[in-house]
Amino acid sequence: MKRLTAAIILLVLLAGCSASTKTNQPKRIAIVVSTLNNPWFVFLAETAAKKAKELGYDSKIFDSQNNTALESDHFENAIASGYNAILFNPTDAAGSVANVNKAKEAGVAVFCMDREVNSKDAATSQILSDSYSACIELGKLFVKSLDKKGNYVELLGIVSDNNTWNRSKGFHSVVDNYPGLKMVAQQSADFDRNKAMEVMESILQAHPDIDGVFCGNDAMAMGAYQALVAAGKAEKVKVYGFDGAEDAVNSIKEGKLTATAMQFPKTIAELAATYADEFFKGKNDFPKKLPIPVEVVTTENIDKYIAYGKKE
Amino acid sequence: MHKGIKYALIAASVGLVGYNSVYVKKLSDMKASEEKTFDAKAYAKDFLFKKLPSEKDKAVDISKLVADLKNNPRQAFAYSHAQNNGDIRFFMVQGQGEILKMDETNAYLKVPGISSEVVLATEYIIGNAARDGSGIISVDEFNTTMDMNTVSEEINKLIRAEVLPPFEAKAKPGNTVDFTGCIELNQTKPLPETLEVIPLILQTK
Repeated sequence: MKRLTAAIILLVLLAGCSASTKTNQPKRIAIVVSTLNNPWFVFLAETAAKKAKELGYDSKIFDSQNNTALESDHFENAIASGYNAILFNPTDAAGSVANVNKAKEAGVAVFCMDREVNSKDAATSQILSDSYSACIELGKLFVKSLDKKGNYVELLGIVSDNNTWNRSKGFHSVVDNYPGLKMVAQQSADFDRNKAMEVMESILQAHPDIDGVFCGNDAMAMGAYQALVAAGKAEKVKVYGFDGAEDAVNSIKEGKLTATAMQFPKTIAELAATYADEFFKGKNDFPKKLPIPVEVVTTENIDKYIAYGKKE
Repeated sequence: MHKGIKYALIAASVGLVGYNSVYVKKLSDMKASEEKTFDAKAYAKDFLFKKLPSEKDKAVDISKLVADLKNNPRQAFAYSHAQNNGDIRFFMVQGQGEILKMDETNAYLKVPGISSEVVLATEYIIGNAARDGSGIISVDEFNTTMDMNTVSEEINKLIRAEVLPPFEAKAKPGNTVDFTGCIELNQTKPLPETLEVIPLILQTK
C-alpha cells in the first residue's frame, strides 16, 4: 500500500514537472507545406522559417509531397512533438480540415498560407491570394490578346485545391462571355511542369490549331510552353501562367510567356509568422480569411517585378 | 462449452466493431447534402433585391466622386471597397443621366457636371464590382472563397437576367435614367476617360 501511494505521488510530481516544463519551453513553429517539388512553395516555406527565426522561434519545415496522408502524419508529429503553432499550406481544401481541427483540439494554432481549407472556424486565420480577382484581370487580357476569337486550352491544377477552381472560375467568368473563344480542351496537370508538358503534347495531337493556353500556375505554363516549342507552335500561341515564379518572370522578359499573375508569397509567409507571434503574445482576433492582392504581369510592366514579388 | 462461449464472444465483438465502423449512405444523398451547404443563387437574390435596395442611399453621387477623384484622389478612394487591399477598388455610385445612344454593349450617358464619358454596361457584366462596391459582403461570411466568388457570378447573372431586360425594353436615346451601380477603378489610374457603371437599380423616365 505504501509502495502504491509513493508511486502515485511520484507520478503526480512528474506530471506537474512535465506541464511546467511545457509552459516554460520556448515556442516552436511547424511549417507544413503541400510540396517542396515546386520552387514557389520552397520560397513560401523558407520565407516563413526565416521570419519565424527573426521573431525568435525555432521552426521546422515538413513536406507533405501533395499527399494528404503524409500531411496527416506531419500534423500528428507536430502536435506530439509540442509545436505551438503550424503555418500551413494544405494539400486538399476539404481533406485537410480534419488535420486543422486536430491541431485546434490540441491547442495548436494553425495559420493557412496561400491555400485554403473549407472552413471558416478551423484555422485561426487563413491568408490567401485573391486568385479569383487576379484571373478576372488575366481573363480580360486574354480576351484582348486573342482579339476575342480563337481556340484555347486550359490546364487545371490539383482538382481538390480551391485555388485551382478560383483561378479557373475567375478566368471563365470573363472569357465565357465571348462566343468567338472556344475551349477545345480542359485537363488537369496537377500544377506540375512535366505533367503539363505531357498533357499539352497529347492535346496538340488532337487539336493542332490553338491560339492560347491558360494555365493554373507557372510550372504548368512552362511545361505547356516547352511542348509548344517542340511542336513548332510557340511563336503563335499565347501562354498564360499564374504565380510569378522565377522562370516565368524570365520567360515574360524574353517574350516567351504572354503573362502571369504575381502572387506575393513573401507577404503571405511573413504575415503568417507574424500572426503566430501575436497569437503567442495573447492576440485572438485575427481575420478569418484575408485575401492578398495578386497583380497581372506582362511585357509592359515586367520591369517592376522580380521572381515572387515586386522590386523594392 | 468454454470454447463455444469464447468463439461466440469473439464473433459478437467483431460484429459489433464492424457494425459501428461501416456506414452506408446513398451517393445521391451525400451529393444533395453537399449541395445544400451553400446556395449562392439564393444569397445573390437576397443581396441584390433586398439588402442592396435598403442600403442604396449609401451610394456616393457620381459627380461628387469624379470631383474628388480630380481634386483629392485619396479622399475619393475612402468611398471604395474591396475584399483585398490591392490597387483595384470598387465604388457604389448613384446619379441621373440622359441616354445619348445605345449599342449592343452599353448605354452612353450624359451626366451633368461630369466631363468623363459615363456608360451603363448592358452586355459584359463581369468582375466583382457588383459584389464588392457596396461593402455589404465580407469574405468572413463564407466557409470558402469559392462560395464568395460564386456569389459574384450569380449577382452578375441576375443583373443580366432581371435588371437589364426591363431597362433595354423601355430605354431609348433622349430618355433620362436614374441609376445606382458599381464602378471599378485602379488607384494607379484614378480617373479614366470612360467610367463604366455595372447597373444594380435602374429607373427610366
